[in-house]
Amino acid sequence: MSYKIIVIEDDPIFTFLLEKGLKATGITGDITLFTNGLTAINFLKEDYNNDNNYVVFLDLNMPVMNGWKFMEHFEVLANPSNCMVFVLTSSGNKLDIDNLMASPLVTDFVIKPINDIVFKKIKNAIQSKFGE
Amino acid sequence: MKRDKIADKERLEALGSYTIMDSEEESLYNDITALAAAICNTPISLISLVDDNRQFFKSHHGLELTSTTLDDSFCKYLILDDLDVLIVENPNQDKRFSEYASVKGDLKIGFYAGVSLTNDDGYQLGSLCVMDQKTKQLNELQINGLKTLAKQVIQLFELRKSKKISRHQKNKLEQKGILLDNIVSATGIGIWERDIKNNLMKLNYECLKILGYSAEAKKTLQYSDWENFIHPEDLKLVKAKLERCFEHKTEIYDIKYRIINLSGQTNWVHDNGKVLSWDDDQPLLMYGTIQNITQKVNDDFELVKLKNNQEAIINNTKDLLWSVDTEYRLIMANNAYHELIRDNIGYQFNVGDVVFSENFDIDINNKWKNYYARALNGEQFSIKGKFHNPAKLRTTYGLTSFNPLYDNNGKLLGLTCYSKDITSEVLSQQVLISAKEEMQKIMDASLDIICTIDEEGYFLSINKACQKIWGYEPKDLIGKQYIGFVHEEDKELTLNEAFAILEGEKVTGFENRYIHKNNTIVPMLWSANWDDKERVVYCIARDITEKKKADVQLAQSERRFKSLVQDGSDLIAILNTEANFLYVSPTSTRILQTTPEEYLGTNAFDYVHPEDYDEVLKQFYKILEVPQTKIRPFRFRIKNNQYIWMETTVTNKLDEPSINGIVVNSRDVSNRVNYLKAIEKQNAKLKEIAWTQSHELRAPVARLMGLVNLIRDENHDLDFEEKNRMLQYIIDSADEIDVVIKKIVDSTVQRMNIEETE
Repeated sequence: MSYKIIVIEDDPIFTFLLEKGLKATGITGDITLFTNGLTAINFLKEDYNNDNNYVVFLDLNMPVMNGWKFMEHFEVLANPSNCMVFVLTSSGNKLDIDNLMASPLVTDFVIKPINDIVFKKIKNAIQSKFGE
Repeated sequence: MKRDKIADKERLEALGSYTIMDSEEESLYNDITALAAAICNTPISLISLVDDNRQFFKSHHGLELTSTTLDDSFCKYLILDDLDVLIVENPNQDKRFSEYASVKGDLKIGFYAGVSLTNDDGYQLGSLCVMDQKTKQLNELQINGLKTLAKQVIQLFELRKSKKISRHQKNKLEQKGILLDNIVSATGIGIWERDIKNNLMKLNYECLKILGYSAEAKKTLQYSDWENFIHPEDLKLVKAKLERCFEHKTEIYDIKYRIINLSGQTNWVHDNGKVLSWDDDQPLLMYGTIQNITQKVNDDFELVKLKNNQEAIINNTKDLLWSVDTEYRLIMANNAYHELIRDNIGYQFNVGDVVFSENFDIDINNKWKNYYARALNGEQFSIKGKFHNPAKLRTTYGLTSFNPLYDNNGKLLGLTCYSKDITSEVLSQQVLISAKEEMQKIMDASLDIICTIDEEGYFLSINKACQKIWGYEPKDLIGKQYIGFVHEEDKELTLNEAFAILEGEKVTGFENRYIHKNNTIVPMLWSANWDDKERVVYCIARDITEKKKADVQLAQSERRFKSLVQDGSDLIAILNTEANFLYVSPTSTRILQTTPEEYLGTNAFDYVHPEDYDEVLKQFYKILEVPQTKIRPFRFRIKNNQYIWMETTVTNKLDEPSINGIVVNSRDVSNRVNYLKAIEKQNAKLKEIAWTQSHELRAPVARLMGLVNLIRDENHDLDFEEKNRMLQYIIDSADEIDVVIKKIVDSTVQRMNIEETE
């Protein structure tokens, strides 16, 4: 089954590394890049429908609209059945993640940098939800 | 032989020495016989003097004879039988007198009572006697009256003998008066004279005494006044008896009735009288005697009873009565003696038996023989001894008195023994002795001093406790004045107290100080009271050294406590279960700027900050389940609606009688809480800084790690341009790390400084 990959990350180096990693792991799909939550949520408000599947990689610290704000908006329109959100964070600080983990949309946290083992786990998670 | 006594030469010589026989009639003696007749209520009274063949009447009241032969003499029997008093109540039934002319003949003497006229040398000269035609009885008072008169007769004889009578002829009348007064006052007989015509009663002193008057009272009463003294119930009888006299129905007025004297006391009197002169058939003058017989009336009944019971008493008493003659033969014994002997030897001694028995132990026989011999030697003595009665398995104690027994001529007849049963006295004495011993033990065991002190302050007795408390032995103190042992400064106070005790005040709790033998001071606590009967002070004194020490410690601990409560930094309050203030320590003025009085009656929770209210309430009421609890710092309102932070310990003292509340110790912890709050704020900021810093620093590090992984991983087919881009990324990330570290150092220092100056 096909899915759309949405990357919301303001750091271009991370975006580069993420694209390389996804490709190397074999996670395929159209990748759409956003540098803050606002452009991403505006896109999704237009694009989102129940027929598509969405895999979202969300950074937390971003200018204009950060990851937490984005989630507040995304939770309003999205449905957990066709959405997976992987939260990216550079610190292991639990405070960042506890309230977000409560959301049914959030699949997992991923601490940067993402190594190939983590990419494989992400791939397995996507496949088990949306199929091969 | 009997005749010899009458004719005794010495007696007759003694009689002759008075030259009284055949002397002239003298009114002095006639007064005495008249009085004797009045006392005994008889028509006849004689002074009879007996020589060896006749009796001469010196005075013969109511009889015309002046002398008779001895054949017809009653009086001679006084001399013959060596009697003091002879009373013949029924001469016609007495074989000595029944054939007398005076008894059988016209005179018909039916009663005789004579008292011996015995001079100072013991010679019986004759008698003073009274006689009556009818039989009668004399009471003791009447007989004593006769005896007194008989003595007066002898005195008159003595006076006559020494010729004092003739020498004092001029004072005869006066003497007669004195004599009669003496006689009358000696006999206690009241004499009255009633002027019937003028209704006046003339009374002598004795008579007035019966009525309750004093000696100075007037001697004449209206007859109606006299009647007022007579008991109303008896007055009718008195009047009736007098009436019979006045109507010649009886010659003698003789009655017993009651007199109510001036003090309201009722007395029985015996009143005797006779009308002396008449005007034709009208009585003019009456003369009589009156005697207070109350005692006799009361005694009479007892006397009869006594007489009836006399023998019974003698025989019923447990006391032993017996007498033995000079040959140790029993003269007489009462039942108790017989019984004891019988129980000891199986039979009793009969009169005339020797009072020793083979059945007695020889020692016992010898012991009694020894006692009897002493008494027969003229000794009077008493022996305390045991009597064992084997039949009754009983030992009794007796006090036996031994008296020699003499006849009238002083001849030793034997001895009398009287043994009083003193078992109960002996036993109670033994009890007393053991009680005394017990008392002594208690005294000796007492830790307190027990002593008696006399009026002058001398120790009379003291127990051994004084040795321990004062260092002196009882013998060191007894006979010394207690004040000498009292501390100099306490002497005045002690003497004042002692004075109060002697006034009868009972003193307890008096404290003073004594000086121990080793010169240390011993504080004492006294109880004492004065026994007016024994005239001693009973004292108990306690050594209160330990108590004094404890008192000092208590005072110290009170001072300490006060200084802790008043000057401490804690606020101490006592609340009731509703949390109302019952007590607030004075420290509130300093800690809360409010005096304790302002808090009293208000509720503690009124001062608690609303935000802390619930928590404090919850924590406070834990105290009802646990003995002590702590309340975490909370805000407490003070002046001007300001709050301070208080930390409180609550202790349940509801069951402590002296407190009866919840004790609350509070401390102003505002400074500490404010510091804590500042530290917490600082910590939050530090956390934020740390987070930001870690995030900002981690990001470039994570990028570098990702880039390195990408290069190392050969799976990625990287072109040249891509490799250049990655190199540039690495350089940028390294620069970024450098910048970030610099920034962190700068901003941290800066931000911390800001906090410090806040």
